[in-house]
Amino acid sequence: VNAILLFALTTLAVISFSISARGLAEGVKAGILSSLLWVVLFFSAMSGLPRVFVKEEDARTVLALRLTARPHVIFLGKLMFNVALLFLVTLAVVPLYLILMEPTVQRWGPFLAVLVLGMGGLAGASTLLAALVAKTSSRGELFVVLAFPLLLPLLVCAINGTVGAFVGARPEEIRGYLVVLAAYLVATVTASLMLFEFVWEG
Amino acid sequence: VSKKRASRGLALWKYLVGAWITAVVLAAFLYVRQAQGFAPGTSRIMLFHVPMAMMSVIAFWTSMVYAIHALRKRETVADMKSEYAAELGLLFGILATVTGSIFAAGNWNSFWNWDPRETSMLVLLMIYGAYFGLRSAVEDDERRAALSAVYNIFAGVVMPFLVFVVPRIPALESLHPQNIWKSGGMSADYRIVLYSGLLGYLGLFVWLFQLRLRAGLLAQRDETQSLTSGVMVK
Repeated sequence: VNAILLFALTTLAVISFSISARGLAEGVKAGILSSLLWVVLFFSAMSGLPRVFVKEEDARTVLALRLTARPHVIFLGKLMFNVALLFLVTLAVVPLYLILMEPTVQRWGPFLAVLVLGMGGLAGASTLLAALVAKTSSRGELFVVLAFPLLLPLLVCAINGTVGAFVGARPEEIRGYLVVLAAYLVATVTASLMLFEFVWEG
Repeated sequence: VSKKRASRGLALWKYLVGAWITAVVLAAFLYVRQAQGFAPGTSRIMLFHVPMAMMSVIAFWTSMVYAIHALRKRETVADMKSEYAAELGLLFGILATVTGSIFAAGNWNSFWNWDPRETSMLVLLMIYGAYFGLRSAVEDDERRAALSAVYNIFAGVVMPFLVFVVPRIPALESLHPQNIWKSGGMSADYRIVLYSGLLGYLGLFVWLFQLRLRAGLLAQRDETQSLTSGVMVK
């Protein structure tokens, strides 16, 4: 957990001292700042999320876990751990980002909703992939390759939703992105619950 | 005997498909006229590009259907079929991307424009690239079958979201002709040759798929034989 937070803070520091968005036009600035925010969040998540199942393999506790609990219970437990982890990262990164990069947040409600649903979806889609990757021989390196194309729809929605919240777009416009983010979360978690068994027992 | 008949049927199929595709290629250059509204000499490539893209999507669907089958029945053959369909989908997808890119360079002044369809094709290629990365990272056959099938199906669940998302990628409006499928958008000669091309590629897909499957089954039989007789081949 410490490593992930430090990773997030390091990326944030690099961005903060190398890029200044002051003096840019409002629309351009919102686009750049929301992309950068999600780049920081995405890569921090990618550095931490695959660990949940690899840890069990490393400590050789998989067998014990498999004996004591049913697959979907384990999946939900790991999912909740990942959600908690990502919220911790978000809590650390976002306030600092707001202070250092000074984006103007026009709509706080949608902004927070995009963050919550976006990070939730990130955790939801990543947990199954983390379980997959833990069963392979290459583990960590493979995770980003597997995850990126599947997370792309989520990222695009989250970035566009954040832009909307920064520039103060009409609520209906942002609501479209929120609905898709929520649907993504529900779809990936449902599919994971059905598929996890095959990964876990395999 | 039935095997011999099957292989003779496959050979016949090969010549049929070969002749059909040759006819389509000839028709594309001799029968079809230049289309209006494109850079000179570039319009004919779409007769090959469009069916290739369709074929690659059909192949990926096939791969996913076999993946579901492989998870349910736990059959090695279903897993092999899923893999080979994905291979062919990747082949057609790469060809579609390359031909599309050549067309784009002639008409839209750049090989790559982040056009919505270019983006979604790229994501498809990335997904199945990752799929083969996953396959090569697992040693055990049964485990490889289960894990790659799970990834294949999971990707299928996420794909519909791209349909919503892709038009919202900030860069541009779609450069691809939009209402060309409606009547009057495409002249009859283009329509005929394009669908004939798709039919030809479907035939080609079936042939390559069967060929690949036979090679895979033979390799598998070799493996089990050398294991059971205790002789190390190689």
